[in-house]
Amino acid sequence: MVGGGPGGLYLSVLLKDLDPRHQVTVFERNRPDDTFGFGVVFSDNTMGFISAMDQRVYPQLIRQGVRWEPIEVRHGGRVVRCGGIGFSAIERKLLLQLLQQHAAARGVELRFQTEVPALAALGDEFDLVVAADGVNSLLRTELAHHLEPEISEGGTRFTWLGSTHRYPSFTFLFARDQFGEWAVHIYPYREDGSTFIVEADEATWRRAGAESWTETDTIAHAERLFAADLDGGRLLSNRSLWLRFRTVRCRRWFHGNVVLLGDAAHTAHFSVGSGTKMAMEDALALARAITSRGDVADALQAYVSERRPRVEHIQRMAGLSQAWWESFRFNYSWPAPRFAFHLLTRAQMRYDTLRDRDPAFLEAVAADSGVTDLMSRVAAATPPGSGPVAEASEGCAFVFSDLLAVAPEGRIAAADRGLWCDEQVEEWRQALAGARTPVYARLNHAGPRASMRPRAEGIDRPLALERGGWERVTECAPAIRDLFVAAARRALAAGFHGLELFFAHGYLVAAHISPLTHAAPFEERARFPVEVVAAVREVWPRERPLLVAYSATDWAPGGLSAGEAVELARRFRSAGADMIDVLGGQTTARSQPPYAPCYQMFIAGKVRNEAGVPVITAGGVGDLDDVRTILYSGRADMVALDTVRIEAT
Amino acid sequence: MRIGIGLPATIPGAPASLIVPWAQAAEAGPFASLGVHDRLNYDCLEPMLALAAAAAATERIELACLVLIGPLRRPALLAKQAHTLDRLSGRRFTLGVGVGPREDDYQLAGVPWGARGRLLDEELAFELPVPVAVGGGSDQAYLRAARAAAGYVHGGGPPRAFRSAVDRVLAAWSDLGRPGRPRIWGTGYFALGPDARERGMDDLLRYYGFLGSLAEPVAAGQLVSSAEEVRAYAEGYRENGCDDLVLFPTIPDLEQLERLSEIVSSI
Repeated sequence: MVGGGPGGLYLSVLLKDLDPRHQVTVFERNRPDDTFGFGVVFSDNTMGFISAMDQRVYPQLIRQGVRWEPIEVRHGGRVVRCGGIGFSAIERKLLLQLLQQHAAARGVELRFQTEVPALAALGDEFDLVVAADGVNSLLRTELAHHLEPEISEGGTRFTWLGSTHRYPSFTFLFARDQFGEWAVHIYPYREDGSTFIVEADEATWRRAGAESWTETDTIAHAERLFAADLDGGRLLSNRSLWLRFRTVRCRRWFHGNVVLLGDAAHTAHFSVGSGTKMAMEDALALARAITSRGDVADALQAYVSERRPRVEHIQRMAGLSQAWWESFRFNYSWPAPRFAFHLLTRAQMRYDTLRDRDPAFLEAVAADSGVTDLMSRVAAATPPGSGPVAEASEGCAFVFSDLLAVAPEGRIAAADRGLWCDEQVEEWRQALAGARTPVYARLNHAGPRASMRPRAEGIDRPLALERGGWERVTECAPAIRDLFVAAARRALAAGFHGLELFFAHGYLVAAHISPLTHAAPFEERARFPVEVVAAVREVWPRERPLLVAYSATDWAPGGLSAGEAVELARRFRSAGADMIDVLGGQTTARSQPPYAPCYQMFIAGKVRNEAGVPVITAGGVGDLDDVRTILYSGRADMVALDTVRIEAT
Repeated sequence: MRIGIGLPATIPGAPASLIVPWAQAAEAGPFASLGVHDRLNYDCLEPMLALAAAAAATERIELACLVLIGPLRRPALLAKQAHTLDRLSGRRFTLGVGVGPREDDYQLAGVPWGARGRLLDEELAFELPVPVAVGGGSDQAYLRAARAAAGYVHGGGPPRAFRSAVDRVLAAWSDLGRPGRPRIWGTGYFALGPDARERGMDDLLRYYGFLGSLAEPVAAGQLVSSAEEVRAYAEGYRENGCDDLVLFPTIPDLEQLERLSEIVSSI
């Protein structure tokens, strides 16, 4: 075992418990009582999972710590509490002492202040070498060629301090000074102490001159800034450097008989409190795999198969959480309940999960949201090939039409509707005469995704030329702009109540916008769509809403960046769009959205709050609780329901 | 919601001679479909052949692979087999496909595990002449089901987990603008009678052994071993949008089918 942290020690103990014949040696560079950081946190969920596997050691460890339920957010002079989210914490030093005692009692050989022997020697002497040597793992670095680690740095600076005050619960502090916005994450871990992590975005941190601060300067600054929230405690430092968070991912977790465990294999932003938890869960899985399988390679494969999907899930959630801390400054001036709800829904939590835990908090959030009539903020969409317009849309603010082609060659499938000739105006006039909900025309040119078989048979199944297919258009020429303008005129003549230019999902204009399908600088990719918006606005009357839909994320590596998405929304708005429809994906066959509830609300919120534009969004919105999640957290002004689920809603 | 029953084709040691009487008894009973699982490196029957035997012995009941590990077969041959089964059964066959969770099946088949997603995509792009459903619990599986299939197959578990997967499939279906609704298949296992829970868990812990420490909770979450549990499981699936629930046996004995028939008839 290389590394005597919680993961390595816990694995040693478990191995001995499962089979006392195992011989385990732990190499640790530091002394037994050297430790960094103050407390470690485990959620109730983690506790449940681990204690189901290990009824002996782990519950005993946690009994030594403290438990609390509410989360407290102190922001803008107000305190907001949300209950029912249970956590436990234990002092890191105590956790290590207990694990060291358990290990020693079981005959694990603990070698402190020992430099690790060369890898070659280790590999020969031991059947299995576990690299539990932390985020800066030397063994991982030595085997980088095989393990292919990838390390990315976060956009904020943070430092671990301690407080001599035991805060009553998980507490977040926010403050603003002349340099920018600062946040503190507080986790109580014993009767007279809490972890106190101060964080700021890079620009704020630099403006404050924190680059040259000593630990004393850091503490002085934090004590001044958060004077009202120290609750009588003092701040302490312990090698409290200002760091950027490093997220570690490895393509492979083992090579030969050397295997990575805990931070050496993977890290996840501390705001989801999962570092030690993942290391200990790794230890459980690895101990079982080793004991139940005769062959080391077999055991390591089983360990990775079990752990990797879970770790990747946590890393995705941690990525969302980290993004929140990198950009909360855009929402800083919000009222405290909305700000807190936005914070709590930054990763996995949704309106319904929180309501079950603390109804009173959610009532405060709803009252504060400014949303009085929920249905006036809900839109429905008509799926291609059905319609003319969705029937189950009554009660909604408006309903989007099916995608209407601006030219025959811009249809997806042969039977698609459109607005490319005057006969179609008359058909739509009749269809709209009976509509009880306002109908917005969605204008599209399918471009590279045209000439397909009907969507009932599947998506992107090409229609062969000899079976009625046609040549696809792939260039955004000025004539294409004119097609959109002409179709907008017809939409007006037909009596549509609103208009949406559909620049999303890999169709003609979307393919022009995305760097995945159009290798050109941003300015060049942005010009044409913005021109179309301006030209359509000229013919579309002010009193009728004009919306622009686009894929603000391609849901694929190398796609449109979030910064580009925000800038593009700003330009659509300047060119005359009343509202931006933030969608994503379908750019190429490799676009892979994460289909969780409300999965596009994060990019929608970013566009809305950073570009300062009205936003409608969609994606994974199955019921009114999903609508509430998005509206109450200030991530959109309107929401479109998933088409399949309109009737159920 | 319709309720179907699995063939005893994936229980080690089960006699192959049980397939035909089982299929006939299912058809005579309250079941809408007969399902099969797929494993290569395991003591079990090949699913398409087991269904062919069932097809020859029945006339009404639907037949479904829930699911077949697609990448282990080449697309053209798979299409031919599906077409054959479709004709043999008189259009009663649904092909559920997925990548499966076990690397050793791929090793045995000589198919690279790392290519499984791409191979399944290629298979789905191929003209498969029968109704296709996609199984799996990942975002890729939800996207595949919405892009290229007419249905989705859930791998079994508590109704809450089922609901969460259905939400995601419907999100994908809406995202891609598919008209209509996918056909949603739910699955589970049953064991009934004396020592049912223990005998059922024995079979499932063997079947899910490759999951390591997760085998126990995974198995426990999808085994029903009393009339009350069958009813609660079925009700949980029905109210969360299941179209077809197929319960697989864990004990290879016809009296198991009879016991389930009695319960299902009363639902």
